[in-house]
Amino acid sequence: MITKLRDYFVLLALGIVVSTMTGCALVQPVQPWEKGNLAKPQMVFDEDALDRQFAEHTYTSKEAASGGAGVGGGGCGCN
Amino acid sequence: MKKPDTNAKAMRPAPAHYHLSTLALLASASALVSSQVMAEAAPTATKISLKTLSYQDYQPDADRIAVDAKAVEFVVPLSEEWSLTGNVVHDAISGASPKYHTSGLTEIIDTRNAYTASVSRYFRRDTVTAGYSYSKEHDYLSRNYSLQNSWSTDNQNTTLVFGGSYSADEILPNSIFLRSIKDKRTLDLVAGLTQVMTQTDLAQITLRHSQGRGYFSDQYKLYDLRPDERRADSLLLRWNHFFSANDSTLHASYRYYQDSFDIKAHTFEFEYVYNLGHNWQLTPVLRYYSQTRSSFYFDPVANDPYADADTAGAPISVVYNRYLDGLPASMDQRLSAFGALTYGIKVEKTFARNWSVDAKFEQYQQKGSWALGGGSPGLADFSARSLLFGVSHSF
Repeated sequence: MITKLRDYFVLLALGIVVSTMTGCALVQPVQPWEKGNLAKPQMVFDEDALDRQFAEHTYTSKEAASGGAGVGGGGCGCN
Repeated sequence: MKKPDTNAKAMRPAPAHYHLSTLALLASASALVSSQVMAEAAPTATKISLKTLSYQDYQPDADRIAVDAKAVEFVVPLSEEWSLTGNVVHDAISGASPKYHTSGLTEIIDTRNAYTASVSRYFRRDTVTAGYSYSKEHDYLSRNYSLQNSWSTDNQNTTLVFGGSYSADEILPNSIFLRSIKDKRTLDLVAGLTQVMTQTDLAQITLRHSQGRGYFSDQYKLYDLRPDERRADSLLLRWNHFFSANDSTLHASYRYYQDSFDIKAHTFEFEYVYNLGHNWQLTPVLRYYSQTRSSFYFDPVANDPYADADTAGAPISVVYNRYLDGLPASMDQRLSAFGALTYGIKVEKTFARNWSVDAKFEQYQQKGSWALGGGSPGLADFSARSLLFGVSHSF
């Protein structure tokens, strides 16, 4: 099981590294002085953390699929 | 002349060379290990947020579960290199939960207290975050340990995140179907990439693998027996686009999920953040979810020879025999095939740059017929309504 897990993660890491490199080649780099709009709070993923936490918790209690973009957080009995 | 920033949460007018690392400062508040993925800098202000949730779910003939939740979260900069995040959540849960399918509603009452703390260390290009969370209900105890590293390229256009978490949960007996304490251990691995695509576009891809062993059955459901292992994988794609013309932002996301219970699910979510001026912000939300049924989910039947008045409509002869033979079987609605739609709206107002209040309403509905590729028959539609209020202060 551990070996399988390790293989899986190595594959995942490789995939990400490759996509980063191709991503960098395909995407025109944005310069620091061009990032004013990107820096706005509304452009942040999961800006309201408590909102996201409540949403994930209530969806987990009603649906089979779960998981967002981060790690951590406690489980529940969710009856 | 620079146009004034109508969003007061931008802490100060952005100079022309506004650096993206400031982004983290605006957004470091995260209860879980942050999914924030631009190069991070330690927060410079303490932030405290409060949030309340009033939740009620129901089916056409009856109310089901009500939850009243209160949460407080703080983010504290400890130095230029360290920060601390913590939160406390209290849930009061009451109402009724079905024993099988959408029938046999049985009263439940419970409270849940959860505590989360994480500490982050900021390096030049890396941020390392370690977290711990603890959650307790009278029938469930969860402890979670997590570690995450995010790394950014020199130009801060690309950020890579790797993280892992380990949960050690205990299921405490509280029904005739469970006689002793059971364990559940889950390992989660996450790998993500965020890329600045253009001056107005951010894209993110996150892969997750989860592997759990232990008690996955539901002790409150009739003859519910699930495999003692669950593996799940998901792929999450998110895209944020900024519209310069009206200072608004579209958040679009898609998630694909599959697991060893044979469930496949698609989730599409859209949020449109619209700045109304005078520091008012309006955000409509739309979400569609669809899942296939688990391989061991059994539909309701009209006349089962073993069923009596208390188990009308349940395929008892099948489920009971499988239960005796130790074969997985479940009549849990959450393992059936269905589609679900959420719509909602959030209003936020910022005062004096360091205070903000928000209110959000959401309506959710599940229907078998809304599933992609056909849903499970014979279940009552299931709905939920949420109302959230929040207040946040930085100093």
